[in-house]
Amino acid sequence: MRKLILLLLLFFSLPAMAQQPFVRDLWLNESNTSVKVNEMLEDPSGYIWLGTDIGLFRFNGHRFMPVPDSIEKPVTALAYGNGTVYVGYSNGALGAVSENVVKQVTIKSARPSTTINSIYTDRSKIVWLCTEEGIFTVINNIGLPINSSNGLSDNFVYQMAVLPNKRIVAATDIGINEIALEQNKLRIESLTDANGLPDNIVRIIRNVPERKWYWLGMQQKGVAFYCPDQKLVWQPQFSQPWVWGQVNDVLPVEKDRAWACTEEGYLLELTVRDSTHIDIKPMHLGDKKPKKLVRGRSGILWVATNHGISVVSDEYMAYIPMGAPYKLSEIRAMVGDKNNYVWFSENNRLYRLNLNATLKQPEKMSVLPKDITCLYADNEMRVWIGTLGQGIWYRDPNGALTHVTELPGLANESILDIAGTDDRLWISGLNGVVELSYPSTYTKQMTLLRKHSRDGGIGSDYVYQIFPDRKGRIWMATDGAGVRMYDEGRYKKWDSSNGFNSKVVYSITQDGFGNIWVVSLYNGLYRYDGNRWQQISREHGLEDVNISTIAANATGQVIAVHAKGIDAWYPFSNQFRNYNKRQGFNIDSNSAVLKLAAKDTAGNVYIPYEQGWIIFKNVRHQFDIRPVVRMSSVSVYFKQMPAGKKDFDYDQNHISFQFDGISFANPERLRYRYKLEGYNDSWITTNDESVTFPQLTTGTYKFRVQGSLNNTFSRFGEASYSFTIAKPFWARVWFIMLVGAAILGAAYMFITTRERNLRKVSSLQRERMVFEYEHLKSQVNPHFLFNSLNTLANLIDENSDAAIDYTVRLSDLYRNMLSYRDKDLILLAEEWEILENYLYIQKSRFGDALQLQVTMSEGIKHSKKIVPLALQLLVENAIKHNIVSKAKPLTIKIVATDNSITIGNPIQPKLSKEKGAGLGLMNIRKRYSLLSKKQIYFGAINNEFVVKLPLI
Amino acid sequence: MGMYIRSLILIVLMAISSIAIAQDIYEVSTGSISFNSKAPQELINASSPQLKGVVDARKKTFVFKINVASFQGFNSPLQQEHFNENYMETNKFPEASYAGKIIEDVNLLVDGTYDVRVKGKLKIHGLEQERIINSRIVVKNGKISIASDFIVSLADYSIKIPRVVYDKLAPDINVTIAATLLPKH
Repeated sequence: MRKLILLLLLFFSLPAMAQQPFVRDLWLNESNTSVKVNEMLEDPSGYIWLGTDIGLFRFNGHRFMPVPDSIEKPVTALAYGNGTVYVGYSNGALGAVSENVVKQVTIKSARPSTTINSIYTDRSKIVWLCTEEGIFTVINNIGLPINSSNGLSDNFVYQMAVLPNKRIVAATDIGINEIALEQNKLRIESLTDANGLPDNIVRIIRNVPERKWYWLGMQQKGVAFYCPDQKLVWQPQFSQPWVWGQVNDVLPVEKDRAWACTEEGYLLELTVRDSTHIDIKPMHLGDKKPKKLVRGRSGILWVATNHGISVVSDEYMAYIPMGAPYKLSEIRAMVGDKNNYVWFSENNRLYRLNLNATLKQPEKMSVLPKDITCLYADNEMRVWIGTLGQGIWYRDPNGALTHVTELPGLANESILDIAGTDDRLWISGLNGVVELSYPSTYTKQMTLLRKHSRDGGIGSDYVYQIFPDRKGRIWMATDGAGVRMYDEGRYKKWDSSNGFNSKVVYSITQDGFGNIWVVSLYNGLYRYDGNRWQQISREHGLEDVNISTIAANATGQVIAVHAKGIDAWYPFSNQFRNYNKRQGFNIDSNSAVLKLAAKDTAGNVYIPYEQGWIIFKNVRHQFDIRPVVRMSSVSVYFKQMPAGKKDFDYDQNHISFQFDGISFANPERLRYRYKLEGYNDSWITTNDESVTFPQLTTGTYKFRVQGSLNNTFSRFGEASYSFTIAKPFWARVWFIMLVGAAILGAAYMFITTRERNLRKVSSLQRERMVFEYEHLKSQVNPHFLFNSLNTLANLIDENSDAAIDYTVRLSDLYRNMLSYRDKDLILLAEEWEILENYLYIQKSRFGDALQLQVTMSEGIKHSKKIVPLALQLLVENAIKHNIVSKAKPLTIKIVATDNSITIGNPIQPKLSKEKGAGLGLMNIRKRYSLLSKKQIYFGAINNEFVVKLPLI
Repeated sequence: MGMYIRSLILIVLMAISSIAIAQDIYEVSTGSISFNSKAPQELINASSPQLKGVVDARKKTFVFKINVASFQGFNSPLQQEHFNENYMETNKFPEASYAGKIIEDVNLLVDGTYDVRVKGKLKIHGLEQERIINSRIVVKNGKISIASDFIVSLADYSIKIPRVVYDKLAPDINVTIAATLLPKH
């Protein structure tokens, strides 16, 4: 019994269905938990703001972000102005969004204490608050009230509009009030039922685009028009009586079209036929109470309700639901005719759907003996039917079916496609294309005008589609020869040299701008602009290249049907919008039948899918489906920086960027790419909405981030953030100057010291040269040489061994003197060797007359240094200036201590003084003074001449 | 002197308000309020005769009040208990009220039948909502009769319905009021 009822219900609930938009509910919190949305706004950057009973939310298409406030009351009003979002609350508080939180705006003097119903802003930085206590005009945070004490007809103000010439108009519980500021005085004029206002409670006032009228939305009587210039209110005639209740919002979308919503749960499309007639198309939203309407930039009609928000597709897409027994996946052919009927076939049955009817129900029109493969409706209201194996038939407007048999070969042909131009019928079979005349009125005779075959010029006998374009040219989709175009008796073909790369073409269409689009096997779509072919594929958002149907509406949208869903081309955005199961509209068309689409008389495209027909509507508005990216915050070491901070210290170099993508068309496909100019020059693609750069060095940077639905990134909707990281203090100018000065000072000191030393050295060298000169002069002194040689001569006679020894010593003496002369200091041992050689020479001459007493340790000899030839010179001086004889022997005493060496001899002067006396001693003294601070001492002590040389 | 002026003002004020009272203020003499919930599984009816209220016929303002715990009816004593304790929380929020003004430009000092919209704050369950309600007012022989019906959405007043009673309690409740008012003496 229950089954029977169910069957009956199914049967009666069947077909007749009205065209309706896709509606999808979005829940702000968890699924199915209502949040009452009182206000809704789309800001210029693309965010949708929602004022709810539990506060403010910001929506980017995939996430509702709560915007915290300290007011904690229901948000009842929103407005965008002065670069910010103003937020009105149920307790009269006013807030403004700043850095992702609502900051309360302080209003001095008069401020509201009850619900703010709406907020208005204009360029003059005035903020108007419509409240239960009248209007508050807020200028520079000072509130000025306009209420019944100023002459307002009622204090409860729902909305207002700003008129030219410093006038505003307020909608109240008792009519509308025009408020003008004249000579600093308010002049208020009210229009009520006495002036023809249908209903005194006017809740909504909205400007009609391109006109000087306003829509009025009322509590009881629906909508009306108001023209402030003529101070006129009138109610147009409605196509059906107003039964939809209190108007909650009116959203004008075009000059002659608006959406309205009512408390009773209705969404109404209002079409203004003329200023006195409005066609109303109602739709019930179930248990939702719509509060507010916004049309987003992607074309979505957003409806704020007491449950959340709903997506309504009606501005670009709708559907006609159609259930059993019609299986739309079984449809094999479709066509729309001139009377706005859509014809379609299932197997061998032909149906018709009247698009003019409000409730649409398919009618079965004919049954053919064979399965139907294609349909064409001509201007005479005949429907041409291609069959599988029985050629072509036509159905005349009276319903009579005629099988075309008079043409040889066609009667039993399987037909791939039928197309028509004004006076020709084009039929594609398995043997090429035939061009026929239409049946003549009386004889019904049809004539073969031309055969288009593979060899005749189309390159293939298998033509999937014949497409006459708007210029009357015939395009053919062939299997094997790509796309061919027949124009005035000539065939045109394209190949890879023209950018066309496919041999197999399934389907052809022409878009609203005149471009030709073709579906190729494997290569996706090609678009021909009259000059060149461009491949349109995945990088334009096409989700699948295995396309079965392509169709174009009148306004530039091109619809591609494939196994993964349906893609619709948005010419303004230069990319496809994708529809599939994931969108929540439950669209899932799997029809693999080629060219399965129909158009109505206006050019809207009908595509069958599992649950009915999708209508891709003509879109007069330039909707934009491209995503937009916005910077949300910038953090240093994960700590959020205040907005506008652009300069960082050298150690604030761990920087994170948080960004946010806005896409309402296909948010699930949103991806990002970013680049930090000044750090790296390549783009990095990511799904994340945050990126961190841990160790940035000093410099100027620009962070850029772009969003895309299909990896075709562009500058559109890009967000960027420029900043600098300062140099560390040691790299700043003042520090460098300081260090530079220090280096210069040090260099100056170094140079001056070195110069002084060099001067010292050079004078030392000079002194030494003088000394050497004098010394050599003294050594080659003829007396010394003469004496030495005499001694040698004697020795040769007396003792030849000693003579050899003497000669060796003499040569040693001269060699040593030569090798040490250019040194500043030599070891005492080295000097001692010179002295020993010298003394040996002199002792050979003087014998015992010359005595030497030495007190010197070996340690001192090898650790201390002395000016070269000094000892030798002093001994020589002693010998030179004193009597050395057997009678008066000369005893020279040499005593070395740690610090000095003393040479002493008794004073027994010669009678004849030798020349150059004192020169050598002075020279030694100078050399010591250049080498060290230690001074030499010489002088007579107790009849003894003493020279004391410091040891170094 | 100051005392004298103050007394004078007081007397004048009293005189004015007594004039208003004498002529314009009407008070509910008999008033009832009833509601029904039409859920798929259950129909619930309850009513209370304890509606109180005053109407200022000249200013066209009004206040109505009801003691929520006074509703009788229901399908079982348990249901009434749930109504008072779980849904309406009558301990916390004993009263429901509606105060506001009459929108339409009618003269209630003249006999006649007036269909008007009244607007005011409807306070239920401690929460206030601005509501416009259609009412029929009949003025006859110095007596004012008011009849009205309207809908209260439980969601608007944050009255939570457990999932188990979704089928037994409608989300929107129909409310009917009827009252007769007489001039206040």
